[in-house]
Amino acid sequence: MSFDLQAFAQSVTKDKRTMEMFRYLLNNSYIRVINYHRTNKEDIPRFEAEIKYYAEHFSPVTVEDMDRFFDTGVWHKERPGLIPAIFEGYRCHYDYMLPILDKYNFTGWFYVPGFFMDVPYEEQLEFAQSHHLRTDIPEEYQHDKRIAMSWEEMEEISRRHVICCHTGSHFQITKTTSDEDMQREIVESKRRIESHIQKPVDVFCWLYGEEYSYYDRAHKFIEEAGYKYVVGNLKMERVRK
Amino acid sequence: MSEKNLLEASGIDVQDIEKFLEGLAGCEESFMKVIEYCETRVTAEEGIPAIIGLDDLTGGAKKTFTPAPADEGLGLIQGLAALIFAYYYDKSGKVEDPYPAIAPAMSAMAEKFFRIAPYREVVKDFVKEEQK
Repeated sequence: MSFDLQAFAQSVTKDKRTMEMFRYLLNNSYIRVINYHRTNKEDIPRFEAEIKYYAEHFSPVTVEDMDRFFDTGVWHKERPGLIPAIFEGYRCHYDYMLPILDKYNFTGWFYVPGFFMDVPYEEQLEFAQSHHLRTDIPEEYQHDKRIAMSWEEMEEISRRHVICCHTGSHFQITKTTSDEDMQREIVESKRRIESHIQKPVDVFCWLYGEEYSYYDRAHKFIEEAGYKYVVGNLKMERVRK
Repeated sequence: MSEKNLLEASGIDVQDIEKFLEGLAGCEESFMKVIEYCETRVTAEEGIPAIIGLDDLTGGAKKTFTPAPADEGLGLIQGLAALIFAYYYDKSGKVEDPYPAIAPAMSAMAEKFFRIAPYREVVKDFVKEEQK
């Protein structure tokens, strides 16, 4: 058996992002993330085991830790950093994931669509279904139909964890997205969250792992909003100090 | 001068390189096992590990970072593994546009190098204990 070096070389040089990622890893310019979406009640033991393990082997990461890493080029904690990234602003995150993170003193980054919380309870499932969010209401929430975390819950989370903007309505921004939609989904969504948690939202995350640097037109809205970091599924970009 | 002669003249043992490449070929099965495992994950309900690059668009000069002690020397190994995963994903035809093969490859690499193998065992044991 032999390794087809020529085919390998052709394959990995086909898309510039491949060698770009290799360069980041080679230069130790990376951070670990663990992505969560639905955190179901029945999975609490598994989530607790995971977070317990992470707390034992990794360091929690705050926005200030990232600032320092970028500024100095040195990871200043004994253990490598790890970000539990909790997506979509679900009520179950507050009910089940938050207590676990708090128990093990581990910082979560909660990526929330900023307009989800304003949707009336009875309409949240329909909103979720039409915006690529969850498609069901867990049994324990059937009594009031609320599946998004409330603003009060988000404010409480923000005291110990990082709240990030995941667009306003879980909206996929593409190269053809209008300025009006970008303004609403990038800028207004940030303002909406900040008005409730009373602190700056520094991190924006695209849907489906898109990357800021490929979206020239989005630049002006990211800047106008005042984000510090833009996150995709391949990288985190610092856009403002 | 042929490539082989050039390498010999430079003092590099060609046989070592050939052994290295044969070793890579022998690893295909273990890489494919990880790829197959990744396809069984329920991404909506499980914690999915990722390793993401850091890019400073503010003009910061830092391109090379100093990691935590536990991560020293890991960057090159992870980088090579990511390339190999990308190659196997590409070869398998499982990658759909517009995502490049490196996207699932980074996830597979994170799964393999997150120290997830021992972690999976730890989680299983913990869940068993909780259910007793």
